[in-house]
Amino acid sequence: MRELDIIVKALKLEAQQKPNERIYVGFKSYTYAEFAQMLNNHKKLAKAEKEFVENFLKTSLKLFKENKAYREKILTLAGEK
Amino acid sequence: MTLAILVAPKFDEPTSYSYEWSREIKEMLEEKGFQVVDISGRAVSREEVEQFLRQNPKVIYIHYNHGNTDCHYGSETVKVVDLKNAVLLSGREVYCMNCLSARELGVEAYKNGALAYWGYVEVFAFSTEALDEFKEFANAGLKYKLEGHTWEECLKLVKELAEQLCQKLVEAGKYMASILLKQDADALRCYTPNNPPTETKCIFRKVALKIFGHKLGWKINRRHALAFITFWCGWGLAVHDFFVECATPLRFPPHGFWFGVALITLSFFIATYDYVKWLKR
Repeated sequence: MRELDIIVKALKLEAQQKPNERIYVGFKSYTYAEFAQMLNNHKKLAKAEKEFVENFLKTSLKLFKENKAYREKILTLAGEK
Repeated sequence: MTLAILVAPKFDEPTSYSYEWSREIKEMLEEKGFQVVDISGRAVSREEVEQFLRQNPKVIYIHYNHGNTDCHYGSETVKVVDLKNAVLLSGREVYCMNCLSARELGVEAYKNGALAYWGYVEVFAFSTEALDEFKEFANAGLKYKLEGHTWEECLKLVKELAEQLCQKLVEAGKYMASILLKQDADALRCYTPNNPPTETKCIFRKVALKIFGHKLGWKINRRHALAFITFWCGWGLAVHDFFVECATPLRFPPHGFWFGVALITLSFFIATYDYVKWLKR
């Protein structure tokens, strides 16, 4: 599995565990589940949302590569370890 | 007593959080002996903010609310500060917790002589799962400043704090929140005379920055460049035509020369217009 696929899988599982949490992005807000859904479909989103999600994925990948604790926990959550 | 202007409007769900966070800012300032002009807790008009900024030049201005690349909002539609009145930020420190405003407005404020502009070049995002951590991160810059650090030190300290908070969130299993916090930290900028902006999409600006360096490169505006180019093109044409005239003295009409003179005159008017605009500031 690609690194990004593992991260998205883990974040989707996190979203399932936390149905009441929300993300605020400028004027908009999303539940974790709505946002996790956007991670897979970001190419179809409006320009600003697309830019934000792409930046989010880039940052998550950077964390995955640079932060050992984050990588371990994401791998465990995604069931890849 | 030193004054501070705090603008933290409240008119939707996200701004109820930013308003809440701004209360800590107000407390911190008051503890340090500031008298806070607090324009907060409701939709705020452009006139009010402009009036307070005009009446209190050089006073620190703090904005906690929605923003965009070119503005700070006072309500869903009202821009309280934007590129048109950015001159009101000159000579003062500006501390923002809003989206994107460091991208254009922050650069404009820097060009207008703001002492510091603290803001974000991307959307500021946060999650309800880690409100305390996001609040700590958003308020930390001013907290460090009030402790006596320089703005450049504050930026460094806040980035370090963000790393620690990010780690804390990872360890608590709050992965989405940790990514958002890291994203916010990466987007944080603080422009000061010692730390000028470095990013631009404009090719001409990139050339100017490369040739003249960051301090001078940002001060050159489009009209400066246009006046400069027009002036030298004008002289080029006039001189070239002068030599052509020397070779064939009776050539008529001497059009190249007149084009040259016209360009020199135009450059004079552009430069004068720019100078008068600068004087009116």
